[in-house]
Amino acid sequence: MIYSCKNCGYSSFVSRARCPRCGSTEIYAIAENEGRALLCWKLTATPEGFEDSYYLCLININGKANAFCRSNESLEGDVVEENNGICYRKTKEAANN
Amino acid sequence: MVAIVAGHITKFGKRKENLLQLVAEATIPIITKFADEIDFVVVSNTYSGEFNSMSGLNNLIATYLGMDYVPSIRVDNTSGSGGSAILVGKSLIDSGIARRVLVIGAEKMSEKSTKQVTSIIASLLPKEERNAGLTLPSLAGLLAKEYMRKYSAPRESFALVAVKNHHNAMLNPYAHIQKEVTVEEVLKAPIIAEPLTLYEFSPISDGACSILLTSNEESFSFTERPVFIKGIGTASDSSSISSREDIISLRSVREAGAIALKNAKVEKVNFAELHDMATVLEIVEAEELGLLKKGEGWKAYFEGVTGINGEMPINTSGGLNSKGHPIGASGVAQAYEAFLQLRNEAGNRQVKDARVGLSLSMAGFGNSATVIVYGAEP
Ligand SMILES: [Zn+2]
Repeated sequence: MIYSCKNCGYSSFVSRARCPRCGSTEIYAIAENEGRALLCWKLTATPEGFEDSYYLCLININGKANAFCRSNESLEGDVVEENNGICYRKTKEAANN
Repeated sequence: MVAIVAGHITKFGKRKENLLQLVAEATIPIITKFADEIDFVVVSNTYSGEFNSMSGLNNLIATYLGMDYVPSIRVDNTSGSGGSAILVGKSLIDSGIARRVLVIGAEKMSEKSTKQVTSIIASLLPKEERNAGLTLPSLAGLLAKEYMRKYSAPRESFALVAVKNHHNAMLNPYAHIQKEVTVEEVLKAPIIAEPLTLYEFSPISDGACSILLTSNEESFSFTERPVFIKGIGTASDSSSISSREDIISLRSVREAGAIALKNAKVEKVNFAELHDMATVLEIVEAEELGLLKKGEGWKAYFEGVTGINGEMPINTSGGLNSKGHPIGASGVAQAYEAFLQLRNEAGNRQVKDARVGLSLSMAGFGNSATVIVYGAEP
């Protein structure tokens, strides 16, 4: 899920009442959640209510917005789907050839 | 213009005293001398509700200190509260609303578990990022990983920050951590946020620190050696890390530093207290402030440049890394370290010929930054 400005198209992983680029208040949630995991790194000191360790991934959703999600393995380079803060692998990174 | 005329600090660490008792320990030595002169109290604290089930903290503090009728306010800007509180205190004097402002920074954190503290501090993130499991320490891991990749910096660079700051803290009787560490010990310690380990993060500390501000003109009637606030700058960045264009730059730090140095008409400082919640931050902040060369700051740590006797001493107090990081107290304690250094009262961690110093108090992960430039002369 990302949030998009109806007026200028600015998109963001976090919800806002007003677009930081054009000032429009017409922001809509759009059901886009697929993108590539740019970076993953392991966290072993986690907050209350979370698993004791996990990988965090910085992902880019369709070239529109960066987002964060967590996973029990590194998904760096893979195509992933973000759902409620968790990333799921869609396609494994293509082997170098 | 405003000067610091007095200061005091508690030992930072896991303390048995409650929040108000810590405040009294840091403040009584100042108000014993100057209680009748103080006409405003600014309290720097963020989590008294979450950690200590207390609200209206500024008023509770004023009453506990027997200053029931002195006006007070609390400034909450998370880890950057201290810098913001000094900005507010200075502004109260500059505007003529107050003449002598007592700035008190305090936080009592150690009654909560590490997981609870991590969770409470992560509440400064937008809910979508928090829900993904992002934490403040986790962002330091991301920054370290990207910094190493972008600038081909060796992993040891960050460990050297911890080695230096642990060493400096040994020279500071008020510091939380009193233990030297080696690069090998830092690298072998348990990982907190890959690649950074336990010794590379500030501990969970209790503590308080207070300073008294007056106008430059009045300062000499309080002390023979006031320390002058030559310039102050504050700037903000998005609270949404995923919305930032460059995930490894600290825009607020860069902007606040430029404003403060310009206001102070200063190009070079003799020492700096930076916000090293994680080791990597010290390097990146020093680069953003122009204290070290962009992308090459890590090299300075192999050459001893940032040590007490180096060309650019950083975190002589031990920094947040080893002095400790009681959230609301940290930024005020940085000002207190500058006060000591510029009065030549820093003991065996004294920077030789220190005339101008700088502090960076930072909220969140650069969500906002306040840079203060201090001088032994106005
Ligand atoms: Zn817009």
